[in-house]
Amino acid sequence: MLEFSKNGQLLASAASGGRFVNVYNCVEGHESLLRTIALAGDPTALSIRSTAGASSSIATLVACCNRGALSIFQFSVDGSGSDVSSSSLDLTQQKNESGTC
Amino acid sequence: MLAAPRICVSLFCNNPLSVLYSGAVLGAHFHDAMPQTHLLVLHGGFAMPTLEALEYAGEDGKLMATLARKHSAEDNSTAKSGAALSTSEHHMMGPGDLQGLSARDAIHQKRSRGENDQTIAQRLEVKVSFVVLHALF
Repeated sequence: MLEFSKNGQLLASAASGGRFVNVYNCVEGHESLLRTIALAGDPTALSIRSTAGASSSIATLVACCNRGALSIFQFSVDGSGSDVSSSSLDLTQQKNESGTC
Repeated sequence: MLAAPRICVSLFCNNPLSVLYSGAVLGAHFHDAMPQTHLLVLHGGFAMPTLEALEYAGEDGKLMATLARKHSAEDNSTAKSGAALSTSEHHMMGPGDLQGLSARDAIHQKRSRGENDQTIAQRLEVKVSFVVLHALF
């Protein structure tokens, strides 16, 4: 799956069967892989947003995984690779006995 | 409340585990109409997903250390209004069971074929779920 930020600056890509989300900078002349982010499971939904920060753009990525959890990652587009902050939410509470695809 | 039928949406067929948990997050989306500190979360079952606004960042724009759903009346109204956006009769029409008929006509046809109201309601809810998922993602 591919998801562009609304302003077209960022692209997030992920594939089913893989746990990783790649985030690319799509600004002309600066195209590059910004981050590779690992999820707890296979990604099922992605959404990415780019907002202007004090000194650089801030990327916020939300990813859902096949375990039913949601993770949010935030990092500076222009910063180093170690400035990723994350937060997650797991709404799963009980297991259903039914259902496989 | 109707029991959720066992269905798989093609978009999520590669993740069977997500239908195993009653409270699983099905999807999330940064919505333009919402504040930049909130995102729209779709969770629950595929047949009756719940739309909910989730605050994930503080006023300074930084991520909250922990995320949690709100259980206030205001939060409930947000979820209801989000769901209402996609449950109009217009959105319930489309390819598949309804075949271009209005929802009311489709229900009459199904009743005449002997289907009970619960089955009809479940099918319509599934269709609404499809519309919600496609509209969001």
